[in-house]
Amino acid sequence: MSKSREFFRKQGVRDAFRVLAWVPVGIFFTRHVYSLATVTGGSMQPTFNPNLSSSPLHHDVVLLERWSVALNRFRRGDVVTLWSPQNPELLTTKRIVALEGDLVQPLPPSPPTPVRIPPGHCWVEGDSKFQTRDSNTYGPIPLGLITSRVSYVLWPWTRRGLVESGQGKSKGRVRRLGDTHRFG
Amino acid sequence: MTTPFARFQRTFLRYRPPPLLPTTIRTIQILATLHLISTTLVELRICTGFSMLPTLSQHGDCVLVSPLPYWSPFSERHSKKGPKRGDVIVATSPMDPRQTVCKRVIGVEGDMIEIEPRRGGQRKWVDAIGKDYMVDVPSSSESSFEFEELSSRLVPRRNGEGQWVKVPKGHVWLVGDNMSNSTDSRKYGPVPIAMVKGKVLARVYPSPRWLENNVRHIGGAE
Repeated sequence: MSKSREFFRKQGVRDAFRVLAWVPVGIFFTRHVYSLATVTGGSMQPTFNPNLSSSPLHHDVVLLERWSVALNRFRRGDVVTLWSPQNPELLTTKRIVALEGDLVQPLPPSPPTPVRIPPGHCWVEGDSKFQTRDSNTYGPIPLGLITSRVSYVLWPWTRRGLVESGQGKSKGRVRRLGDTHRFG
Repeated sequence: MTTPFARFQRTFLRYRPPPLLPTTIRTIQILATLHLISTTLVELRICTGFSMLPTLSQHGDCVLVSPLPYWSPFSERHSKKGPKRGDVIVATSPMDPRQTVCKRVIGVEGDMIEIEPRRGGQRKWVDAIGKDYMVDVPSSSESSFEFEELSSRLVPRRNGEGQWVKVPKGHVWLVGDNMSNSTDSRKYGPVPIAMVKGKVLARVYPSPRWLENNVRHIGGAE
C-alpha cells in the first residue's frame, strides 16, 4: 500500500483527526451560542466594574449570549456588546434603550430635540452617570453592529448573577412605539 | 428466476438504517466545518436586485465573497486595513439586520461625497477640468431626498447645486452601481465598517470574471 494510506491507518493519526473534527463545532458554539468575555472600562459602571477607581486593573468576566442576536432578538433594556461605529476594532458594552420607531429625548452631547429611531436601528447608552461614548455622541446605530447579549456576570464571585434588563438612565426619556420585541 | 419486484423486496428488507448517533455526530461536524469555511475563508452567494446592474445582473448572479481582506481569520475582529474606494462589498443592511446588501464603496472616512449626483435632467460635470461626468437622468419625483432617513447627525452641506456630506470616522459610503435604482447610503447614510462582512472577489456563474476595482482617480485637490 502507499505511504499516505499507511499514515492514515495509524492509531495516533486517527485519534488526532477525531479530535480535530470537533474544533469547528467548538468554534461554532463560541461564535453563535455562548462565549466568555471580560469587560474593561467604566461606561456601564453600576452594572460592570462598579469600583473601577479603587481597583483599576479589575475586569469583570461575563457570559455572552450569542444565539439571541443570531436569531435577531433585541429587546429594550438588554445589555449588549456591539462594534463601536467609530472604531471597527473596538467591541463595547452598552444598554439598548430604544428600538426602531421610538422617540428618544437625547442627553447633552447631542442637540436636545427628540430623535425618531429609523428602521433597523436602535439607541444605546452606557449606564454610567458620567458621559460615555454612546448614541448621545454618535446617534442611533444599526442593529447589525450588535454581536451578543450580556446575560450573566461570572467572575467577581460576590456579584455573580443575571444581568438584569433595566432602563438605565433612560427613565421617562423614551416613548415606545410598541411594547413587543422586534423580530421573532 | 427472480422478478424485479422480488429483488427490490429483498434489498428493501435487507436495508438497515445507519447507526443514529455516529451519523448525527458526523453530520454536525461536517456542517460546522462548512460553516467555518464559509464565514472565514470564502463563500458562494447569490446576489439579486437591480442595484448593481451593469456589474451584476438582477436575476441573481452567483458571486464569490471572502471576508479575509477585511476580517482577521482567527480573532473575529476587523483588521486594520478597511475597505478601499471601489471595492464591491457585502454588508449587513442597516435597514434590516436579517438582510445583506451588495454595494460598491465610494468613499472612506474623511471623504467629501456628493449625495445625489443625479439632478433634474441636466448633465453635470463633476470637476472643473471636465475629464469625467455623472450620467444624466431625466428629472422625476423620486429625486426628493428625505433627510430624516440619514442616520446620525450628519448635516449635508450645500455647495452649489449638490449636497455634500463628509464620511465620519470608521464609516464608508456605499452606493450601488445602478445609481437610479438603488437603496444605499444616499438613503441610510454612511455605514460603519464593522457592518462590512466581506469583499466580492468574482462572479462565478454567468460568465465567470474577476470583479476589479474600476474607480479611476481623475485628479483634483488631493
